[in-house]
Parts: sequence; C-alpha cells; structure tokens
Amino acid sequence: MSSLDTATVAKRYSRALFEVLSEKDELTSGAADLQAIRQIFLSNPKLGLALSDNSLSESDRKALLQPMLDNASTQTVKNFIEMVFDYARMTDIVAIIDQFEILNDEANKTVHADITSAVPLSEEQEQRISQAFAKRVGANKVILNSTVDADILGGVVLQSSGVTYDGSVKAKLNKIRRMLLN
Amino acid sequence: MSIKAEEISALIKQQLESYQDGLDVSETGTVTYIGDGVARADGLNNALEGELLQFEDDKGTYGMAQNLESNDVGIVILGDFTQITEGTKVKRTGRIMEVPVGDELIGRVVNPLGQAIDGGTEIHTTKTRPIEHKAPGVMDRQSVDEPLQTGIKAIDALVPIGRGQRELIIGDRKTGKTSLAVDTIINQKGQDVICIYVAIGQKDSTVRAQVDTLQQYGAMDYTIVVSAGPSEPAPLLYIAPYAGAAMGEEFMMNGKAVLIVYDDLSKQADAYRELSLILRRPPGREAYPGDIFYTHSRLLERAAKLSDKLGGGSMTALPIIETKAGDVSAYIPTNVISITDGQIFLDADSFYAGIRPAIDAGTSVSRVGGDAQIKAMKKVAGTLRLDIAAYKELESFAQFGSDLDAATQARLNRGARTIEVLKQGLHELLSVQQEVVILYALTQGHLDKFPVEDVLRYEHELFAFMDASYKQVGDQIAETGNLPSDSSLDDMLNEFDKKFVPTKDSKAEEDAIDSADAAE
Repeated sequence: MSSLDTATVAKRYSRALFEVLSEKDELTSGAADLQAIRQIFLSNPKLGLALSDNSLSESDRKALLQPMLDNASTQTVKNFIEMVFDYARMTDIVAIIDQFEILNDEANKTVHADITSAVPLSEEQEQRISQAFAKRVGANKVILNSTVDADILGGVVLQSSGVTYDGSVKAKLNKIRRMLLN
Repeated sequence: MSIKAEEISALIKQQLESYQDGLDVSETGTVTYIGDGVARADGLNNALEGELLQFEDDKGTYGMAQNLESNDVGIVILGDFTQITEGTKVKRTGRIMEVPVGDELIGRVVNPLGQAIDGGTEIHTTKTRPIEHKAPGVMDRQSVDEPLQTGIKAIDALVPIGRGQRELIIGDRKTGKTSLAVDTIINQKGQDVICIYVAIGQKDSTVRAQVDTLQQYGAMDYTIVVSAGPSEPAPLLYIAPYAGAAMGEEFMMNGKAVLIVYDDLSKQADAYRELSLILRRPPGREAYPGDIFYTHSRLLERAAKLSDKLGGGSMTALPIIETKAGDVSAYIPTNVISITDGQIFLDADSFYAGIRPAIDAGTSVSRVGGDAQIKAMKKVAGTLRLDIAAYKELESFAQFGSDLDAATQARLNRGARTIEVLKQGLHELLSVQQEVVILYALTQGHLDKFPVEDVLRYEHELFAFMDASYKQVGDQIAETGNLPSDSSLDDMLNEFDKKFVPTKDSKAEEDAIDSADAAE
C-alpha cells in the first residue's frame, strides 16, 4: 500500500479538526491560532522537514515545537499540533490548515478571490468588485487578494474556488484570434 | 489558388461583427502533471466523465475527462500536447465529445474529430452527434433478414452477412483481412449503402492506397474514411471507432443502410491499454484494463437493424482483429468473437497455398446470416460446408495412394473443384446471380467433367456466355431471389458444357508417357 498523498491526508485531518473545534465552539480562536502557525511554517519553509527528520533527537524536535504550543490559545489546537507531530505529518501541516480554512470559510460563507488586473486597483474599485461578487455567489464576506499583471492588458480576471471569471482584454483577443484562425 | 485581399478582409469583418463581448465564466483547473498524452489537473470538481475540456494554450487544445478522482482529474489530450505545461489552466466546456455528421462527409477522409485530412476543403456540417451514444434498445430493433452481398463467393455462400449484423474478420497479419473488407465496400456500389472505413493505427501509406483503390472503383462516392494514423496520440486511436459509429448512426437513424469497417480493433485495444496504464488504472489480463470488454461491446452493440417504426435503417459492422500466429484464444480475439454474430477466419496456410480468399470454412460461422440469404443461394450453398468438411477429411488419405473406390474418388473430385470455385481474385467481385449460377453448376456436377485447372476459366467463360445468350436467367434469379422454375438454367449449363473446350491435359499425357517408359 502506497503512502497517502498530501491532499488526502489534508482532507482527513482538517475535517476532524474542524468538527472538534465547532463542537467546542472554538472556531474563531482556533482559526486564529492555526493562521499564526501557518505563518510560521510559511516563513520557515524547512521547519516541517526538520520536525519530521528522524536523524534529530525527539527531544530537540519537541523543543522546536514548544513555542508553538505555548502560543496556541485553545487546547484543541495544542492537541492537534502534538498529534500531527506524533504521526509524523508535520510536512503536511500547511496543507491541512489550508484545507481547514476552506471548511471554515464554507461555514462562515466567506469567499476568497484572487483578482488580477493590469493596473493597481483603487480601494473603491476593490470594494465594488467584492460587493458585486458577494452578491453573485451569495457570500457574506469576500476576501480579495489582488495582484497586478500587465500581461492581461486590461480588464479584470477573478478566480475563486476553481471558477474563473475572465474579463481581461487578453482573453478577448485570444478569442478573436481563435475565431479568425478557425 | 489565389485569394483576394478584399475577400479576406470581408471575411474577417464578418467574423468580427459576430463576435460577442461578455464575461467569460468557466470552471477551471490547473494542470499538475503532463506527459505521454495524459494530463492531471487540480480543481474541476464538477467535471463529468467523458466531458470535453479545453486547455488554455495558444491552440485551445481539447482533452477528455477520463479519471475522476477525489483529488484530481485524469485528462486524455486530443491533439498536440507540446504547448501544455504544468500550471496551464484547463476549463470545462460542459459538452460531451461530438463529431460532425451528415452527407457532407461522404467521399471524404477525416480524422476522428471529423476534420478533413484529404487536403480538400474544410467540412461544414449542420449537425453533430456525441461519439458515445447508447445503442438502440430491444424494442427498437428487428431481426436481420436482408442480405448484405459481399460479392465474394465464399462469404455469400458459407458465412452470409445480413444488414445489421456484426461479423468479425479475424486472421494473422497479411492474410487479406483488409482486402476482404475493402472488396465488400466496393461491392456496395449501387446498393444504396453508405460505407464507413475506420482505419485505426494503420500506416498512412496503407490508408492512402486503400483510398486510391476505393476511388478507382468509384466507391468513394458513398464512402467515408476515418483515419487515426500511428503517429496520432493514443486517445485519438481510442475514440476513432466511436466517431465512425456516430457518423454511421446518423445515416441509420435516417433509414439508410450503413456498412462500417473497424480496421482494426486490436490496435484500438492497444491504444486504450496504453491510455489506461498511463492513467494508472489497474492492469488486468495481458495488461488490458478491466473495462476492455465493455469498450468493444458497447461499440459493436451500436450496429443494429432498426424496426420499421424507426425507419428500418441498419448498420452492419465488420470489425477486424489481428491474431498472432493464429491464436484465437488470446484475450481480445475471444472477447470480440463472443460479442459478434459470427466470424470469418482467415487462415495463413491456405493463403500461402494460393487459396484466396483464405477463408477457413470449418471455423468461420455466421450466426444470423442464414436468414439473410436469398432462397436460390440457400438451395445451392446448403451442402457446401459439408462437402468441404468431407473433402478435407479424405484429402489426407488420398495422398497415400490411388486405390480408392468410385464414390470416394467422386467425392475427392467434387471437393477439389469446390475449393477451386471458391477461389476469387482481388477486386473481382460477382453479382449474386453469378454466384448462384456457378455454385449451381458445381453442385449439379457440371464441373466434374473438366480438369480442376480449367475451373476458373470455365467460370469466366460461363459468365460471358450467360451475359451474351441467357441474360434472362440471371435477371430472373436477381429479381425473384429463386432459381428459375423452368429448365432454362439447366439448358444453359448443358449448352455451355458442349461449347467449353478443356485445355489439353498435359499432365495426364506426361503420366502416360512415364508409365509407358517404365513398362519398357
């Protein structure tokens, strides 16, 4: 039996974590804790590897883990970190937290959207886009993550949970090109 | 060819006018793996099995969703995959794979996507059909009762094919499988049958030669050639027969008779095996995937004779399978034999012994064709199979000596002439009345009087004689489907027997001289 891939692991752990946190009504504080942990792992990309490296002694690795445990405000998150450590899944912890975020967002009706534009968008423009999008997908809150990419020439591309709303000039030109070539 | 600049700009203008501006909303995924004509993509959570997906590369290459797994989707790429890279976006189209269908395709050579590859003009049809389509159900069908004349004596007499039947052509490489199928297509001229020749993994030069042959005999006027060459990616080879079947179904549903040749399904099975292994589906026997039987059964089930209510159209399928060293018990041959309504087995030994077409009378059968023979043919061909079987049995004995009783000798003589009569040259096709007349001459013993070497010449001269002096005999058989009620057929044969001059039996003379020498 081959070992499970990251995506499968993430789905299982995150679901369990989400259910425990929602039973204990600790979703808000738990989510904040997890977000902080995610930041630590992202800023130290080798931390996950180090924590599951068997050539280091267990006490050393536990010591590395200690600050995170101390900073976590909820007991469930503390338990979660220790359990993931015990099962040697520390390399997958970012994926697990990401998956947890997706579950949490679903429950809160929060939507993440990546928005790409050719020129930086003003505060007001972003506001209007997120309002329009929230209305369209029926969400309470839209968290925009905007990037600037001059390659799209003009217009806006919005991506959210696997759906692309492409209003860019580049896509339109491509469409015309294909139409003329066929 | 000269193209005027104004024409082009007019065309561009027209297309730009029809361009609709709008937000392009699509469900997209991201390619995470690409290789061997297969891609895996994250996202696409709602994609359907078999759905057409479009990659956002420069060409807008299409793919087909094949493996829907919990974390990603396996996609087979239908076309050039050199520009697709990791991270390329792929979007759903919401459509199932379709091919253009209709009269516009007749006389053309197309690829499995229905695009012209014969260098001719682009094909614009008004209709399309999904390549995967459920076969007609129980109440939509009627039994096969109309013959599909192949023009080949051995087939029409021994393993008759009816319209709507599925008859497998099976044999080793280079035993005349394709020739048999192409001859059958050529013989459909003037029969109001649309023919589709699906070449799967056949060398492009071979396909070219077949198309030339068909053109030479005027058969391209009612034929569509679908070709997926060996240089195409495996997915195209895999879908080729389904695309051909979809094109045929359109005619069948419109009440027409269709003949479709799948040349050959072994290569399609190989392509599907390749695809499945790359998609990491578990391999089964001979490394074919678990659903290889269903791959062929759902394809061949689409051949049907529709009920009169649905227009009475039919689609006759002639799948071809290549065996290795005559081994019919390999996986794919046994599968397809069990799916079809009979098989024509071509024997390599007979082929090299000069018996062409090399049809093995013992193992070739047609499970429904008997009902689809005209009465006259049934009468003359009824005992043929037994005659051949008896001859084969005696033949080995006869080699040991000439001390045979008269009955055995007669049987051997008849057998040798039967084998000779069933020989037929490439593209030398006969009408059903000609077939009936020569087989009648054989069964009534008219050929026994002449040496075996003269049989083919006898046949040719007899047909010329019939055309010249007894045309009504042939016409009567063709019209009524019965042997003439009067004695005109016997009269004709008796008269011809008197006219026919056998070649001097040089061998007999030599034998006589040899024995005379020995006596001295």
